Parts: sequence; C-alpha cells; structure tokens
Amino acid sequence: MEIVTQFFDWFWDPANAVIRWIIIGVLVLVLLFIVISVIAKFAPLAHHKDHPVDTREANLLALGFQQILNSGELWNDPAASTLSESQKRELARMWGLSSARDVVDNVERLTTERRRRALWQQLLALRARAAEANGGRRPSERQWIAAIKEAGGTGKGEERDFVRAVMYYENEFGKKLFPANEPVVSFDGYALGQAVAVPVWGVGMGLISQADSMRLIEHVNGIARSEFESWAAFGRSYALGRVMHWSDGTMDEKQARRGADAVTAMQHALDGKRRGPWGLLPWRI
Amino acid sequence: MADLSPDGIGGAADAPLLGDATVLDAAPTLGEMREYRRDAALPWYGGLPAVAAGTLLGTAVILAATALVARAAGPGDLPLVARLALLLAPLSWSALLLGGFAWWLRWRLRDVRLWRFARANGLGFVHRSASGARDWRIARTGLGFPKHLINTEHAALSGDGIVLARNRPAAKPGGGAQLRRPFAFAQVDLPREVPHIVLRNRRSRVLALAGLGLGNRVVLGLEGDFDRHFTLLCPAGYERDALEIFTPDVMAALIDVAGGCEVELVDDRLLLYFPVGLPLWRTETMDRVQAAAALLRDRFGRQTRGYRDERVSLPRRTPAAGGIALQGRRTTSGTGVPAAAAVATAAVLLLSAVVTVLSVLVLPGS
Repeated sequence: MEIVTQFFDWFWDPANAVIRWIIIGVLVLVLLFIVISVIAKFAPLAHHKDHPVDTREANLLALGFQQILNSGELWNDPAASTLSESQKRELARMWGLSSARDVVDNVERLTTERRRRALWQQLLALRARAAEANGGRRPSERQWIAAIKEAGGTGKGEERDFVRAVMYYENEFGKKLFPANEPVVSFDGYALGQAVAVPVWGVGMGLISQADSMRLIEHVNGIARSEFESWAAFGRSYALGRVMHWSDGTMDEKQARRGADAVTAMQHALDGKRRGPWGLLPWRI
Repeated sequence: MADLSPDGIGGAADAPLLGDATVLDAAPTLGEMREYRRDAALPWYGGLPAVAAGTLLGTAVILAATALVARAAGPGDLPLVARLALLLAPLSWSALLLGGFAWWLRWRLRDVRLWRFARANGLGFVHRSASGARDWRIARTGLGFPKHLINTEHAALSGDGIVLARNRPAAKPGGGAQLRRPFAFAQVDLPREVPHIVLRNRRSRVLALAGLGLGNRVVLGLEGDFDRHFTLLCPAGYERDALEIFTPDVMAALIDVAGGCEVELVDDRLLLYFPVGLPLWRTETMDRVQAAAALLRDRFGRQTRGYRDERVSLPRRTPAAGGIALQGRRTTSGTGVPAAAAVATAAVLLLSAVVTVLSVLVLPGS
C-alpha cells in the first residue's frame, strides 16, 4: 500500500510535471485507441446510403463482398462510384480493362478457367475423398498424403508443399471460421468473387452500363450459388484461394497476414448484428 | 550461347511466331528510353538521367573526399602503403560505380530494344515482375521456377501462346542461400497436357543446379544420336508415353534447333531453357528463337494432340483436374544446392588436396 502512496506522491510532485503530462498523454492515447477499437468492432458495416442493402440486387452484389472491400469500395454500390482516378488507372493496368469487351472477357475467364491449376485440382479432390473417409472431417496431413500416394502421387515435392500450405493457412485463419468438419476442397470462390467485382469496376470506369454489369453478376451468382452450400463455405474458398494463389501454393507468413484480411472481411460479412450482408441475406435466391 | 542452328527450321511456320524482328536493329534513342521508363511505370530515379547523375555524383563525392583527406593528411608525410591506398581506394570505388552504371545501361538498352519489338508487334511486355510471394500472375511451373524461391522475370515478351523472358531465381528473405543460375526461357503452350518430361542437355547445363531428385523419375534411353545430346527423364511408368511423344522427327527437330537448350514438358507447356546471355535483342537470334519455338510447337503439337493418359481415374466432382494422372504430373525434384553445402564440399576437396600434396611432397622428406 505504501508503494502506491509513494507513487502518487511522486506523480503529483510539481517537480515531475513534465513526466506527469507525458504519462497522462500516453494513457489518453491508449484509452482513445481502445474506445475506437471497441466502436469499430461493434459499429455497423459501412454501406452506400443511396443503394439498398436488402434487395435481390444487394444479395447478388454481396457475393463480391471480400473482393470489393479489398479494393476499398462499398459492397452495395453497383457503380463503384467512389473509385478515384488513380484506382481506375491501377485497375485498368492490372486487369487490362479498357473496353466493355475486356470486362466480359475477364468475367468469362474467371468463371470458366477460375484460376485453376490441374495439379491443385487433383490434390483438392483427393482431400475431399480423404475427408469423406474421415467422416466428413478435415483429414490430417498424414491422411491426405496417404490418399495422394494411393492415387499414384509421390507425396513429395510440390504435392507435399501444397498440402502443408493449405493446412498452415487454415490453422492460421482459425478454427472458428475454418472448422474441421468443413474442409475447403475448392478455391473457385476466389475467382468467382473477383468475377463479381470486375463488372462493378467496369461501371465505375465507364466501360459498361449498370444493367449489363448486373446481368454479368447474375450469371456469376448462378454458378456460385449452385456450387457452394453457404456464404461461409464460399468465403472460406475465396480466402484460401486468394492466399494460395498469391503464395503460389507455398507456406508464407506474409501471405498469411494478407489472406487474413479476406478472413476478417468474411467475419464482418457474416455478422448480422453489424448488418453484415452475409448474416442477413439468404444464400439461396 | 545456345546453338540455335537455322538448319532445318525453314518451313515450320511462314510468318514469325511473334513478329518482325528487324525492328530490333536500330539503337535505342533517348526518347525511347524515356518512354520505356514511363511504360514500365518505373519511378523517376529508375530513368537514365537519374541513374547517370547519381553515378557521376557518387564518383565526384569519392574523388572530392579523397582530395580532402589527402590535403588534410599531407601526402608527403604519409608512408608508401598509405599513399598507395589513398590512390587505389577512390580509383577502385569509382571504377566500380562507373562499371555498374555501364552494366546497367547495357541491359537497359537491350530491354528497350525488346520493348520496341513488343510494341511494334502488338505483344505484351513486362519490364520486371516476380513470382512466388510477390505476384502469382506470372507464377510458372517447371524445374526452372522452384516455388521456394522468388523467380524474377525481366523483359518478358508474351504473344499468342508463347512467352520469352529472362528469369533470375533468388532466395526468399530468411530462406537460406541457394545457388541457382539465371537463365532465359521460352514457354510455348501445347494443345493438351502431357506427362512431366525433362530433357537435360549433356553439353549445356542451363539448369545444372536445379537439383532433380531421385523420386519417381527414370532415365530413358532413346535411339540414334539423341542420347549424345540429351538425357530424357520421365516419371516411372511413363516410358511408353514418352516414346509416343518423342518420335524421330521430334527428336531430330530438337537436335536441330534446341541443341544448346534444356527442355521441359510440364502440364500443357513446353519450356526451352537458354543461357541467360542469349542475345534475344539481336535480330538474327530472335528470328532463330522464334523459328525454333514455332518448329517445336508444331512438332510437339502434332504429337501431343492425340495423347491420352490411360491411367486417369479421378475422383468424382473434380473439375479441371486435367488429363494426366497424378503419378505422371511431376517428377519429384530436389530443392537445389544449398550454398553452404557447395562451400563445404569445396572446402573438403581443397583440404584433401592440400593434405595429399603435403603428404606426397613434404612428409617423405622429413
């Protein structure tokens, strides 16, 4: 007790005024940070006020939530009206977008080729098979490798790297959103999520009309809704697909952090209390 | 330099695969250098004026500092060694700076020619991009592009189903030192997927340190002269498939136009690996590479079009898993030669040599 009173005596001593104000300043900053973090955690998700959040159109746009949020747009804005000129230039460069044809070509490529790699598809299919044998639960690394060897693979080199990378990222992303009883067996969500964002950007860049963009988005949704069971399953596929593509199928701490953004976005989208669209809108439409 | 003999190339394709290479002839102008920097989205300090000014400034600073030191110290009072050091140190540093600039300028001028070639023929051109951790869009598959390294491509030209570039593999931060050679390569799309087959060149080891492991691959002996040029590696059990693809006319084409390269077939791609110094910026070399790629695309395309892997039995619901069974998709490869292992081996060899010399020359006399 004495030490506390001694500290207060020292703290209020006029000779320590400078240190006192520094400590008070730091404490205020920490408090401010905590308050902002708490508010941000429970604040409703940002959305465009001029566009609805509960219509069928909003539901279709919500499929691109992770990708649209990643580019700094508001998820329910079908015209990407907040795109800056530099963002437009960057998107044009990255996606080769300079005409309506480019938008359509990108969507077509993303919905057909889906950034798939034949080897990865085979290994994911073997994971699905191993999960089936495991009662629907995620197979361990050993079980997955055994399934690969049984199918004629070596379980070494690129095959082993792939298995380890998938398991590493799933563990990094946490059991809550990546539960063991729902193993990811497709990365298509990544390409399909992008295929929703591209037409939205196309409208923002003045390349296509909003009506044409919604037609393309409707098409993408038709594929995604029939191939995935839920928003969560789609979000997992997007997040893992993104990190696997960017890391080229290898374990990479930096990419894990980057992929965590997509997982956080998914968490927000699924939170109905924060008006997250995935938590409020039905998956089946 | 790769032996890209023009013999036997003619007639493979009427028009060049990528386009007219005569545009490579003219020397780059200052305007082109400026436009290149803008086109490649390089920062201002990546342009010729900034690099040249930086080099001159660096040299001036070195010389000025030397002059100041010499004046302060009084060269007459200094011992001979110190005077020599005062003379040689700034000279060597200046030479290093100027040499570095000359090296940089040499490659930039070459890249500008290639950029001009791309622009004139409507091809894609990327000044520099890294795969792996940085950009998956150019992530490639093949022994030359190990995934545990960062593969940085320079001056990549891309046309209809073909890519030409230089690749420089480097270790990821914290990934340990790995010895890898830079190389140039051509990637050509094939009409369908094929088993993983590697042709190692007996005379020109472009991928000498790629580190093929002992995994599932076998060495296949082929008829005629072919074995004198290449060693063919394929996954175990795919020997017959390899023979189906490597017919005598394909082998003859390889010997004719790819005698200096190493070759790899992986997924639906044909990769030709050349030494990094292959002067693609010269008209005649570009013409030969184009003709070689066209001929090999034609020959391999013809042979692989009808290829089918009978072992494929994929689990249900496996979209886009391709037409090759897992056992044929990759020969297992090693991870290269760790630099420490190479240094240790060299040290052991050197030590044994010294011990041998000592024991032969010194010990008998003692």
